[in-house]
Amino acid sequence: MKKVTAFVATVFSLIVVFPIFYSISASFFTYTDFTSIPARLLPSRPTLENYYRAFKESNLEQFLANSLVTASLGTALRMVISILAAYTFSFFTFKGRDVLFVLIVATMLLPSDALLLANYSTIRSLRLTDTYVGIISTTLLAPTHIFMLRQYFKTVSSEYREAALIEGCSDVRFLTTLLIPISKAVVITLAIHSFSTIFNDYLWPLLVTNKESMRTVQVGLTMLGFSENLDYGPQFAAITLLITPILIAFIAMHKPIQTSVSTRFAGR
Amino acid sequence: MKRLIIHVVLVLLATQSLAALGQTETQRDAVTTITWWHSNSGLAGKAAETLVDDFNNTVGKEKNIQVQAVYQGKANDVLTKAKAIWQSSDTSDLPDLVQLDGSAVLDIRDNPNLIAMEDLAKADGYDLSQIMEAARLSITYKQEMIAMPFNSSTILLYYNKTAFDEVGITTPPRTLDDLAEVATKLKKTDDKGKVIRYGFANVPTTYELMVWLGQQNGLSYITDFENGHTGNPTKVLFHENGTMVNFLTKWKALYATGSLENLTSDLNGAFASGRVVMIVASTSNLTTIHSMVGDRFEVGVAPFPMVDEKATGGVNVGGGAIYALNNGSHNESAAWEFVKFATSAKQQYAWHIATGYFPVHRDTYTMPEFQAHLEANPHYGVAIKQLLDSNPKLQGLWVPSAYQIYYAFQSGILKMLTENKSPEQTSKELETEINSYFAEFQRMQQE
Repeated sequence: MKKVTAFVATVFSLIVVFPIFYSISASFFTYTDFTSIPARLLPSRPTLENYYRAFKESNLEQFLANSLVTASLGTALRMVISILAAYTFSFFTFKGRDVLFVLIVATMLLPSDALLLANYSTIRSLRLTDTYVGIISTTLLAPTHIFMLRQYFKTVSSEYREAALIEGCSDVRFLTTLLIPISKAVVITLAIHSFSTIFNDYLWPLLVTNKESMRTVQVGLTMLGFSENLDYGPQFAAITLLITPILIAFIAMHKPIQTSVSTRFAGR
Repeated sequence: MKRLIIHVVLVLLATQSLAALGQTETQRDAVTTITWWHSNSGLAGKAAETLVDDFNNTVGKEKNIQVQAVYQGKANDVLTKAKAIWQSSDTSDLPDLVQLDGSAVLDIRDNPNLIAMEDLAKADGYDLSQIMEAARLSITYKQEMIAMPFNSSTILLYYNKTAFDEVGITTPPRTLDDLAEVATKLKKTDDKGKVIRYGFANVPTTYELMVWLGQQNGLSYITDFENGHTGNPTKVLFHENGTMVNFLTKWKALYATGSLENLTSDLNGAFASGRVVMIVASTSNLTTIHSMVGDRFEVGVAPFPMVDEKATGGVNVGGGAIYALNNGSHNESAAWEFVKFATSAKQQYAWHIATGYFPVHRDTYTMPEFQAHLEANPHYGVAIKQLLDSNPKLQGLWVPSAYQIYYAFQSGILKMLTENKSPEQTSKELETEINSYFAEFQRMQQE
């Protein structure tokens, strides 16, 4: 059984790792490496030319900065909102709580594409196009995050909170010093997930920005290639730069991510 | 709690000030700023930038017009974005000019914000016959040129000249009969009888059929309303006029030789690797195919093969065009100045050299630089001569449900070959299927 598991795991990880490996390798390709037949896996002679060109031919550093700002801000605000909402839904009792929760969770069923035009109209009438607020505002309410955090918080007995309150501990203190630390795994996982989804978003940031100085990196990435041309090098260099921070975050945080997944599926 | 609130407020303030940093645009008085949304990236992006700089430093400076080119993602994204704005109540965010590809025509042609390019040209006293007729008609709807053709291309036959020499073929095939004959000679099998080299590869879609059906008898329409150029099509004509049966009969004969590979994707790769000797592809693939092939073999190009000797219509023009939009700023005449500049003989020459799209201005073709360029790159000459010899009335298909129709053609033809159906039956089935899409569209329009 163990061997089978190991085999399946290896196959799946190869499927996941291969594109990452290939884009890193291709970022060092020369122009002719892309057209070689049979296709190459490794560069014929590694070159940094593509990285140089990726920065020279576009405002890549500006796009990267915009993406980092929107993704970090978006994640931070989203986590604050989700944690507070989840806390309310799991520890407080008030009229209409469950209805409200169902309403929020129900928005998970709305495909984001269906909301695109309506959201755009809203952001535009608020005069928030070409601003960071405009880019992140639609990502702030994350029903999946609220739902998952609430499920996790529910596993913490409400007696803890009652005991803490009797001892004179405030809700904020209980949340920050007890609840979040014990839910660290799920909080970190959701934060990383948030960061990468906002960072990877393409259509929405494209819609709400017009100025090149406000573009995010996913939009900038498409500027580097021309479909009638095989000059993929700079695009792969930019892709490699993009995945690096997220990759590092995943590797550094793999322990808490693992815990959050295993505990959640173990039905704790 | 207090600290948390303070933190949130601080973060919000920071976002506001950061947003302000992005807004450092200054506007001078009396200068009209024209925005142009486009999807030109990479090489074409650089060419577009040069074009705009040239304009801003010459005509623009003189006439106090500055063009601001905004890259808005891929062609489809540009349309999504424009659509988002014209579906909202306030259209002041629309650009003055937007470059869209052929598939966008249906979405934009009846839009109240569209300013027909022909009207702008007329207001300026500009003689539109300077623009190539085939290109002009490619964007003409109900007798009016609604936009300016800009990134135009046609379809060509690419062949492996080295393989041709190897089997002693000296001239590329002219008709589908010739193609079948040549392809049979080029086919190679290994000891076990497995094909290791095909003569030709293709599964026709709308892109190829527009030409193979349209060129028959000098000019044949695929649907009523002149392929959708004079109104929404209500039925297909290819079955009743027999063009589809005629084409499918030739196609089946080609398949029967065993030298046709039913390949639907990466035809360029199959060609470049030498596995397929001939393909048909857009003229805009010239550079790509050359660089993919490298020095593996010699590439030849020839006019797109005709269905039969009577199919003299030639090829149609495909590609994108620049549309003028009304956003309430009344900048149309300034926008027109830029369009006129961008499609002038000189600028179209530069655009062609940089991107491979063919020039839409007739005078480009008589420029000595251009003549010299064609001599140095005879492949472009083949593409351009083919287009000049074509019937300008042969035009692309403007149909609703274009995506479904594209696949209906492809799967219908594949089925005919693999299930050995008759051309008549296949043509009839395609007629029924595509007509049902039209009927559905009509119903939706009426609701």
